[in-house]
Amino acid sequence: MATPKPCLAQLSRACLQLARSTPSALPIRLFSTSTPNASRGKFVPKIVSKKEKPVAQSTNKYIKKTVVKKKKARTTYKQYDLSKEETFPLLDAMRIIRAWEVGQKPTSVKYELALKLKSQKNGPVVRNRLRLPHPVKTDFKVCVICPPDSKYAEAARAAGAVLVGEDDVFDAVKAGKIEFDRCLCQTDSLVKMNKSGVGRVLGPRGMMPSSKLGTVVVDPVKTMRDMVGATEYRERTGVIRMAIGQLGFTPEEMSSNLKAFIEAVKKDLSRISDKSTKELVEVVLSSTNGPGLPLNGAFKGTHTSVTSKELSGP
Amino acid sequence: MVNIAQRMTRLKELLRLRVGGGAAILPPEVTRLHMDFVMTYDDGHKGPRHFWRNDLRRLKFYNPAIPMTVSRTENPDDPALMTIHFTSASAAASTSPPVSTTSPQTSTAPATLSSSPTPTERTEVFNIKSRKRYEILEQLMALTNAKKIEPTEEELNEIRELNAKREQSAKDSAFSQKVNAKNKQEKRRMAIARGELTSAS
Repeated sequence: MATPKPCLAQLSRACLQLARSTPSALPIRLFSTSTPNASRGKFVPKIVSKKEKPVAQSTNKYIKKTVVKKKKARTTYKQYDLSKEETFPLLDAMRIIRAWEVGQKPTSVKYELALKLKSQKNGPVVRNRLRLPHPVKTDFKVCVICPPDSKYAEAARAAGAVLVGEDDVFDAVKAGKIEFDRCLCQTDSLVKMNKSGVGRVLGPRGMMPSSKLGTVVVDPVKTMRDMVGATEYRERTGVIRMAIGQLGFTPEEMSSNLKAFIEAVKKDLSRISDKSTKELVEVVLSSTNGPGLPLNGAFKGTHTSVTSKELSGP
Repeated sequence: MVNIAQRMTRLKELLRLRVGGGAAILPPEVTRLHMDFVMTYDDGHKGPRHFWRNDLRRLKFYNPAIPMTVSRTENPDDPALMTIHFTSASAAASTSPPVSTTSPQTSTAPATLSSSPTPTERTEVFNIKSRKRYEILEQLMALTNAKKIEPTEEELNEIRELNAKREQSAKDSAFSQKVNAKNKQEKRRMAIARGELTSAS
């Protein structure tokens, strides 16, 4: 049953409209609200249809009042129009970078490569390990977690591992003394390692051994040998970045490194499942302190005035 | 990666590497340049540092084959020196630029002191402490008889364009800063009026 209140309100509105004697005060029901709205005067709140009416907000003051509807998040990484991009042949790019890095220590400055991919935000990422023809860094400090009196421990020590053992390693890691760049685990010590809680320390640094990454192995020495000179790369936010050479490398060495890396990445891209396709969009060469120069794939351009011999000096 | 327009604008500024002080070709007799100065910024080592960051880059760009090294020390009392290595004209004509042999050796070896791979006949050393960037450059140019490279009309035009762009962007940013501040004020006032915010907070 209808309450008397709305009826009264309607009645009074009708009376008021009549009293104002506006031309729109007709006794018929209007479907459009614009005329009655105008007739109500400037400062009176508009009559709003039910559809337009704001949803009654909760009276709880601790709850946020307006919930702004979120824009649908994009599922792919943003791509840019590359037609206006200036690209460089390798020799020109190296000349600029070498000029930029003048006076820096050739040992500490590295060439870096960024490969921009056309890819989705979710789904598989490119992640692999590669041995470059001319390795960038050869002196890795490796830690091997294995039973200290096993044959693996001896072999690992002989192969040049910095830290070998089980409990000593866990204690050192927990104390914050991490003096190695890579960590391997022998399969026999896996259970012990997982119980020891070193994952809390090693995990954020990306050094926690896991079988997924191929760092939990039966024979750590063999992996160690493979690892020397090999670098890992992975895709982050649609870009693969990796150190590709030292500043002292000659253009030929750089070119062979670049080729090997790009080919490896292309192979990885083709191996990824058919559900999400990825393509290589852009190749940018940069250095530790230098600018990023998009490469066009050529070794020498038409305007290149520099020879590769000139860029081979120390 | 960063927006392409932004990146290309930054790259355009690379023109600084082609035009300006130090854009010069050194004669073939010069085999190596070496700078010694102190890491700290003050006490007369500012000029050398500026020279390294600006002019030496250009010199290296135009003379990619000549090794140019910088060694910076910690002790603030150390001298600041520029060493230029020369060889005789006949030797310069016969020897090719130094080539690093296979990479691992060259690139992992520590940075050597001021010595040149090609036989050095004489060296010129001059003080660069407490001297301005352009003073150092002037002396270097005078000592080596370097040939200065004048910027082309095209490059000058590009520089003018870049400068105009920079001015415009400064103006734009000042304007939008004003607008944003105004909007923020307005929002705050409305919040106070609605009672969500006290005027003191």
